Amino acid sequence: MATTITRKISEYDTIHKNGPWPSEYIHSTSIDGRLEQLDFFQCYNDAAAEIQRLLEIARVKGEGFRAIGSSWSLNHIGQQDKHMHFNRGMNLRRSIAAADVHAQSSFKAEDLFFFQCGTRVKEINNYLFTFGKSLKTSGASNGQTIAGCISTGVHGSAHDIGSMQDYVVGLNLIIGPGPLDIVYLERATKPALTDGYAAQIKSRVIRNDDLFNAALVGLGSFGFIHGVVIEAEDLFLLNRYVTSMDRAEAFRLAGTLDFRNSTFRIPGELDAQGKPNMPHHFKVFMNPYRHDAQLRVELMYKKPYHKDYPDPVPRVRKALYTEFITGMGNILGRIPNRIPALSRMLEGAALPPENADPNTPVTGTHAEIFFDSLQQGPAFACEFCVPLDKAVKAYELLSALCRDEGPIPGLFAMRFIRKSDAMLGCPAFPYTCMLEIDGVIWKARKKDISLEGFCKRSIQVLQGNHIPFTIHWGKTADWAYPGLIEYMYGSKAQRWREYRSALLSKEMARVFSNKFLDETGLSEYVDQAPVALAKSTL
Amino acid sequence: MTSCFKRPFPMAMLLFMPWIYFTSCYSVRVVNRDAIYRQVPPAPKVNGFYVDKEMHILDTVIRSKSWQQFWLQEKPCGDCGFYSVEYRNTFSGSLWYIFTLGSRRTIRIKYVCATK
Repeated sequence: MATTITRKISEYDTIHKNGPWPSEYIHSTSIDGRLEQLDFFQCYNDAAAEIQRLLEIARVKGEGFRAIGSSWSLNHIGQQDKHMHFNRGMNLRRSIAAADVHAQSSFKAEDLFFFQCGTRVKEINNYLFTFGKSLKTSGASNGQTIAGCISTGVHGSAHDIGSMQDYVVGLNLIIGPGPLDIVYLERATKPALTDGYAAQIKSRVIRNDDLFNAALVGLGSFGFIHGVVIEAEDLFLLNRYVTSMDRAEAFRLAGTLDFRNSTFRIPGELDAQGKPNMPHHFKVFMNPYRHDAQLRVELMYKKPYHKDYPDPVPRVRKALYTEFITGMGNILGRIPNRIPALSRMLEGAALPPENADPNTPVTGTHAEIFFDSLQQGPAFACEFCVPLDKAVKAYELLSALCRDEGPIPGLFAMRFIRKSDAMLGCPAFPYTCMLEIDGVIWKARKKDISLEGFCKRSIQVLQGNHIPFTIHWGKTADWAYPGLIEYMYGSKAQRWREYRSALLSKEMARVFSNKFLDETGLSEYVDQAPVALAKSTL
Repeated sequence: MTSCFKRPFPMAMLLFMPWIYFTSCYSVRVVNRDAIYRQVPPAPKVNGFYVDKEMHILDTVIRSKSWQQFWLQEKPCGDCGFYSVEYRNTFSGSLWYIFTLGSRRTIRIKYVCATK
């Protein structure tokens, strides 16, 4: 039997120390190792029964229950005052057989994989590698759990792929303690698995595009995500270049992604006509306190997989002691004139070093290039998602804010991804620039700008200049800012509430809510939500 | 300034000690790059690398002669093996080593087990 260890705690914090916030219990369920060896489905269903038992306790007491993954979010989206569930011990995985693929499916069985909620990206990478497969994209590192990634919209900079939720094709949700409260959800227009497979995980099937898109980035509030079906692709290599680019050209590309007509060229990455190829990944780094003529950029080009390439993972990696960075943040934060110096120091520690030869790439698989993170100390990260044509304007506004009302100890970067189908997906524009500000947490004097103040002013500045934007759900922001969600998502926010209310009972909707959801106004239950919203349309 | 020149030895020591202090503090961490570490919820009072890892500390004093090798044998990782092993040299450890003429070495090893 799956077992749960419950610990009484007083507070919860993220790995980047963005809290702490109060919390009472942390549960940690582990799958039964013997069952795992004997029967995948029996083991998986046994874990589901255990989660339902915990949900019933929370329901009866009228208390909240929230699953957490690796706690990489830099805000309180994972926090719950009462019950938190640490998913780590639930990491079953399984490939999908051809017989389990829906008759009307366009997916190939060999590309589909089923992962339990607590499976980390690195585990997925290792597992997929054994099948000659790869994730299509991921975040910059590999420690998050799959359920955490999709619930908050983790992304990379693969402009033609999108975020991690965009290759999820099926969700197994536990929405309550009852026998009909285990649901297998997928799109009606893109079914993936058979009803028989759903029956094996004791789930009732709902095939509904809009409901699926609403639940996809569910903020941990659309029920307990127990399993995820993803579509992988054949293993590929990435040629990674870190080099300098003329500032004007970098900004032109940031606003257009028009690489074909770019003056920036890498000799090995040109087509037959000598025109630059479109990179798979593009990232630009900026220091708001310097007007450098050349900007550091990272470009990656996708190549077919072969085994003959040097190991891209550096044998020796160096990082500053966390205590050192924190100490500098505390000391220099009180001396505003020194913050630009701290930002320069961060450049050395946080920016990828330029390739020794700018025309020779580092080559590796997706898993090797987006490897273990060294940045694990206290940190903040704000991230605004803006339309491509507003990217440079948004940067100019926010960097001016840093200089005029700051300074703040952070560096800017821009990444680019396509629109997500998720109803509350952060990349809400056809092509989205993810404008991020990463830095160390600082202690400001009373008269200087604080992190909270900066977050609030950022929203005001962008709104005041009529820049449409959304904010990454896992990042630092003034989430309680009045009208923020409606400004970002308009009518989609209300539709999300309706779909959530149609799927969950009012009682369980409360169980799956938390302070974050209350602050953003997304926990509001729509009593009159049509039941049909949660019905199959196939 | 005059007194500095009158007492060159203490001044030199004053400058030399921080250098010794900083150069004697370092850590080397060996990580099994393909392993998955045993994870725990982030501990409120822990920072950095170990914030979400089930970390074990091994404190011991080794009495060895320079021509001897030594083994530390630990069981907690079972057959999963180590994810990481860290040896951190400290200033006090270096002093202890010097004062005992190299016969006693304080060892602090932090390690994290891998998971299946």
